[in-house]
Amino acid sequence: MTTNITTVAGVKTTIDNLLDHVGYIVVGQEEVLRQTILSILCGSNSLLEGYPGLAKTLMVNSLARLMNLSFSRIQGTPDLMPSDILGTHVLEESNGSRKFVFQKGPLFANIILMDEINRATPKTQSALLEAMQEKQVTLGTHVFKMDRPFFVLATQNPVEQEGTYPLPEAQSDRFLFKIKTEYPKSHEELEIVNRFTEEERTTDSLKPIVDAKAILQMQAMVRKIPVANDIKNNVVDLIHRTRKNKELIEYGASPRASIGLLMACKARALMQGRNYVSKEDVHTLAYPVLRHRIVLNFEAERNNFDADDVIKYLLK
Amino acid sequence: MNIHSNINRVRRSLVISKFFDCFMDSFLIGLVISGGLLLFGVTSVYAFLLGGVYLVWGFIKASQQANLREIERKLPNLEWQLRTAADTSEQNNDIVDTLRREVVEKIGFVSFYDFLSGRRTIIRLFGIILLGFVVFAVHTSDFTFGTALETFTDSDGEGFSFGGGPGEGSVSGRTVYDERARESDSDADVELTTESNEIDLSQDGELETPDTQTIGFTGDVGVEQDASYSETIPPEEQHIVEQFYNNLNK
Repeated sequence: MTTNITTVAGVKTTIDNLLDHVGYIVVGQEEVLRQTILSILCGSNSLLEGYPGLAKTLMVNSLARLMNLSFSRIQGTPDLMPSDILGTHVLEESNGSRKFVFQKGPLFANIILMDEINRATPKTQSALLEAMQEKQVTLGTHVFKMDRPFFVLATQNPVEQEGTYPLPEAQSDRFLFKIKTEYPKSHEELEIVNRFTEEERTTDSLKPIVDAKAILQMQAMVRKIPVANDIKNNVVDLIHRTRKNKELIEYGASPRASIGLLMACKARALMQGRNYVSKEDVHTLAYPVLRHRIVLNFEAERNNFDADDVIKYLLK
Repeated sequence: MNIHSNINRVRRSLVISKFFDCFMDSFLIGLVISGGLLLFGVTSVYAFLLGGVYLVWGFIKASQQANLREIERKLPNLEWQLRTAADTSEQNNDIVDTLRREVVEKIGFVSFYDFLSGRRTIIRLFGIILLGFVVFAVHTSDFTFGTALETFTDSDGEGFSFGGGPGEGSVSGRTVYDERARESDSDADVELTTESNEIDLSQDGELETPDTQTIGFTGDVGVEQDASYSETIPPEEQHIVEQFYNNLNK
């Protein structure tokens, strides 16, 4: 197990090692993988938008194994109840006495894959809010702290919107990134076909290279990365522009977006072995941080602009 | 390891390099304006006065621009590191300390020369030399637009033509030369006669008139005609020759 994470260079080596090992199972999807790791380093959550069959579960499961973290997968369905994910009190009998004991649900794990979150009802989606933001769950009068690190990767399908419950703005704002997954390229798909039809590769073959303690240590290091005042001003200015631009944007991003973008920039710098944040970090990460936080107006939609087009315009 | 003192040292180097650039630019401007003024017959002192004003203005502007961003622009390997280290000088953790140490190491060897663009400096130097020669040439030739225009307008309206036909001026473009040439030609046409070459030495005040009354010849002057020489003088003109020789003898 690699534990050399006391220096920036050590973190970079560890992350590179992690990426190499995930690459043994998952073909391509490097940017998705990097942004997922960034999200974990920031101690935040991510929303993954992509078509079915793009190795989302495999990727997160592989990461959990390599990080030696517990992993839960929850499938979002319209009949999924909050107690199904949070847990419930069950009547337990011991020594002739009966008492209610809390039975933890699948949410009590380090890494949660909430598959097709938009198929779950708003009530169940809301149940996730506290866990995602406060890293705790309140049931009745009891507060249950989540194990750290805690990371929720929710997925949603861009098609088949019928019978879904789009995430409310308040909830989507709690996701640090909205990561877009694309179909693999031809050569990548050929590699996938070869790899999974000729030999059996499962996540069981992966050995942990970091542990929860190391992840928490890296999260602490992210906060230590210094940022120049010009970068901070740049970030705040960008977020303000999302609010001021009424030509294309109905609702701009919240201050949580500023915090998230700056944290993500720090994490990216650390991941690349830098002890400073550059403007390139801001420009790269503005897309996944802002694309689910801005609501485009009719004019933008009429011109067939998507959120990424508007962010690109704002970055100019 | 004081990051601010190191940054100030680098900033000073940048200011000096900017002053050097500015000095060369102002010199170039001075030379260009000087050349222009000389062509109009105006003294070149004004040009260097303007160059001096540009130098002062440029230096003030350069000093204002000599900030961290400018240093990073000139030294790309310090991009964002310098500003981050400077802005977080109050923070203390192992990562910031490492960054500060790296920045100090990197800027430790930065000097005035690192901010100079070799190519631009050489081009400027060549420009100064070239313009210097041009200005010197204009200055020594006393050529001005005024005299050139005067010469051009002195052509009696004949204008300038390469045709060279009668009444169309000359291929030299200077009809005054043609005038002189014509005068010269008319001098050559004057017939040379004995009378025209006669010089009355007594009229020249600076020449001493010989005292022919008191000074006499001690012996006879024997003049004989050479045998190889034969000349037939018509009888009606013999008295003229005789008179000439008599005068000469006197």
